[in-house]
Amino acid sequence: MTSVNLNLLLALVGGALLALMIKLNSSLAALTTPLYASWLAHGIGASVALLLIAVITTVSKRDRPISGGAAPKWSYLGGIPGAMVVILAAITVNSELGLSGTLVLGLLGQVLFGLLSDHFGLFGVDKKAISAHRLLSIIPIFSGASLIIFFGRS
Amino acid sequence: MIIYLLLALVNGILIGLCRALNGRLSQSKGPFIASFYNHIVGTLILTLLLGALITLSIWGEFQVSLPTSLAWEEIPWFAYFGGVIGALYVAINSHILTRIGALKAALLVISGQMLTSVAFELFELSHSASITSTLTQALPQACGVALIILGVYSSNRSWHKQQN
Repeated sequence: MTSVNLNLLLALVGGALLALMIKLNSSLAALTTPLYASWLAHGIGASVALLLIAVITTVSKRDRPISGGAAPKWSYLGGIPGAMVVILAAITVNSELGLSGTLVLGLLGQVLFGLLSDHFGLFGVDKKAISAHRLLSIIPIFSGASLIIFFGRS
Repeated sequence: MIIYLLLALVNGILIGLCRALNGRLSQSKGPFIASFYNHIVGTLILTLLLGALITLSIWGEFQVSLPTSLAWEEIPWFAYFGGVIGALYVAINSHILTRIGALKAALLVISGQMLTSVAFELFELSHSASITSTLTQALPQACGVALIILGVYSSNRSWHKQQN
């Protein structure tokens, strides 16, 4: 009986929160537009993150991780690709790809990016070369996700 | 068609890039500060974009809904909670990314997301009048769930093997 690694569990919880977030944001987008919905969600997210920082620094006197050194300037710019995702998705969802095609290709892009940034050790991750085992680990999760997306109701 | 295919693929790569940058920032500054910068930079970019589109629309060059034409009063309170969940989600994702690696992070977040969306669908089905979500839909989805659970289980096992 192997125990469950906490970080792997956190990643699953993160995915669950993502599904909930997408559901809430798309109900907001249905009553406004995807662009306004994303703008509001980002603004609210920034305020909540600020609040969380305030709470955590008060409680524990530090939100300062152990390693990492100085943050490179580019690492502050995650919000740029994040904001572009909304715009690109709005374009592809309305093409022949539809929602399912957009989602599955999006997952493929995420997996390819993960594989390559691990391979070259980019953005502060440990270097892990592409191997048969790593490629095989993609298959069950990617094919399972594709089945769920293509046979889902939406 | 091929251009849309590429755009959708690039979109996934951008999602990965967004998470990777936040993960790197989190290494130095912590997950909540990473989440804050992700959201504030996104807000600025989208404000500029919306501002530009609204200006073009007023000049009659472009068609975009003005904030005044939207049905703000119809929005339920919980719809605004996407941003609250988003702040937590980005923090969690930034925290784990450099700890478990980019591929494993992507695969496990996808797994959690897919299993949860199936749970949402089941919940909605159980609350709708027509229970005729046919076997042709349910069976492949059940296979999908089983495959994901298998994938998550084996990634937890291989994690422990690597550590020992």
